[in-house]
Amino acid sequence: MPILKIENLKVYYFSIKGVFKAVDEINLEVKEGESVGLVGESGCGKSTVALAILDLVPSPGKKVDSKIFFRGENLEEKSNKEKREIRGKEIGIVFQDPSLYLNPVLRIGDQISEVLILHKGLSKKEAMAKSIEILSMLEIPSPEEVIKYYPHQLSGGMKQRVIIGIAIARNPYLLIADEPTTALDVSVQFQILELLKNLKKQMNLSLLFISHDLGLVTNICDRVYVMYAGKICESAKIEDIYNSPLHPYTKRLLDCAVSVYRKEKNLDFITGEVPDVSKSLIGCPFAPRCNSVKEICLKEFPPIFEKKDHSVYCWLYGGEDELSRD
Amino acid sequence: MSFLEIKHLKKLFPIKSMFLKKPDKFIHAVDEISFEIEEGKAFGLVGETGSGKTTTARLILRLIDPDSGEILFRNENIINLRGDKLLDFRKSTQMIFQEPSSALNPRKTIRYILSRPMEIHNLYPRQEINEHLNYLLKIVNLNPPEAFLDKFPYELSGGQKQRVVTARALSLNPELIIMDEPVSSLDVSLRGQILNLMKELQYKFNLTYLLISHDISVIQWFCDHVAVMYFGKIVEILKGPEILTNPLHPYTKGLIESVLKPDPRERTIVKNIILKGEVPSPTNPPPGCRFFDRCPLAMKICKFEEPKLKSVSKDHMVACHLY
Repeated sequence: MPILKIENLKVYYFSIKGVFKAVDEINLEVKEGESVGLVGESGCGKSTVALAILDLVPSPGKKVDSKIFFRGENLEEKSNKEKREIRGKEIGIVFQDPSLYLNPVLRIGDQISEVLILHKGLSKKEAMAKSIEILSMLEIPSPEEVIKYYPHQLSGGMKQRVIIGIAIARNPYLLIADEPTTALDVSVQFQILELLKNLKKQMNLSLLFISHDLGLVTNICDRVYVMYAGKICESAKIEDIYNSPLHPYTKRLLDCAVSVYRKEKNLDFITGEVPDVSKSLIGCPFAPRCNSVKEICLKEFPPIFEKKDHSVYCWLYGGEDELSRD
Repeated sequence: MSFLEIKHLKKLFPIKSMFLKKPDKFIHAVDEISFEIEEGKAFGLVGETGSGKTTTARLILRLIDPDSGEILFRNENIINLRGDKLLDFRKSTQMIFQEPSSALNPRKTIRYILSRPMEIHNLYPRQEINEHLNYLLKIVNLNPPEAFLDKFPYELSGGQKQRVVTARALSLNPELIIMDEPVSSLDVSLRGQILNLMKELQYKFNLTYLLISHDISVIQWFCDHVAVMYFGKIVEILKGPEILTNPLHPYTKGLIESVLKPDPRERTIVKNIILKGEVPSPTNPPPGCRFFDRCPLAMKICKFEEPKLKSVSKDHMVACHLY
């Protein structure tokens, strides 16, 4: 049984200018103990998916008849109180910029123990002892000192570790990491990724890792969903994505990540921008930026093409000749 | 004649403790660094947050004054420039900042933002400024220029904003452009676009670049020469592409180890993290090598004696007792 299963998720923002389809009919699955990546450029709706799972989509955004199953139960049918329980206890989230998500006037120890007191019913003293334990698990030097610090006394990498600490304090089943390393240095990014990998092993976490850098995702995830303009355009195992990407968008994203290491004169990039989701998009949303665009791409959204664990939405595949070749 | 030469540059920031008391603690932001940049080349500064890269850039631009040392720009020491001469110097050096959205005034149009530097420096007569605006936007591939001139920064995407910032830097026909993490706030898919443009402009206008970044992958692609900075010191200077193939200093090796290659096969290889922790607090540097605490190969001598930057081969200098 998958730990998280999203069926037909639609998140629409209703404004006077029209309906913005931030996330449009996506299906996604995270199995137990698996780490899954969600990749796409800014403005593709990756973070909205994360917020939708936790039911934190800000107004005027709304989920439209979607189903989100967490450990077999439909989250949409739960009351607000039950959702709050799940949010605190069973799903943890780590956001992009660590300095925005710590309360600047509370000590680190209070911020971690708060969740322990609230959800586990520990006394203040027990919670503090547990906080120290969590901090040392996160490889923070001298945790007894650090719990007395305020956030401004910590560096970016340390703050992100504390945020991860808060997210995992209650032994969640699923950890959502929304661009957890974008605001950090390369060397600290490496440390944080190693930490996430270790924690995953130790606590048997499932991980949903959101990033714009396909090169980063290949280092931590088992499976990847590539997202574009609110839709999933390809999903496959990481080896398949790296060795034989099918969707032109995935290919371009991969080229962008890899070309720095090739001794080429020019770096790869994707021309144009993510389309405006307020207009109703006809055809494949990537068509205007695609190199191998066909006539039909502009008229109709492509159907799914599946091959083993690899599925892709693109008109280049699924034709009769393609099938006979298999 | 060298284009830009930096000699024993030093900047300490005092930490004020008590009213009227002389500060006794200092942050050693930049501590006696020396390097040279050749004309028309791209020079990279790489290091972690807090190693003094940005302070170096600000010193070179004379945005802050150094405590000691010399900055020779075309053989002229710019440290004591005043008045008109300083204004002239400002024209020939420009900076591109990390976050394009905070480098542009949100209440002004692109037209105002781009024309203002030219007006201040009296570069062109008023009638010609418009022509130049169009020209500038065309150089940075914002076509058609008329569509962008009357927009406000919030109407542009991140990549477009970064190109407006680039156009503004170019508006005064500078010789040296300092870029402080120009692509770290952009998506990977846009990174190539901006870096390609910078490279193209380098050849077109014979520009000299000082690129500051913590990302070695960008540095090795873009730069002809690289200086690795740690804790206010330069620990290694070498040719750009060589940083991946022939690093000598343990710190440089550690930085390279932490660069994640996109190949998923890499992830099965168990790496030992060389760089644990972060740059220590720069208030009181240790007497010996500043990397001593984090260095896996530290020896006895490292604790007491500070290594000097010495050259090991042509175009390759390293400050480490191992060599």
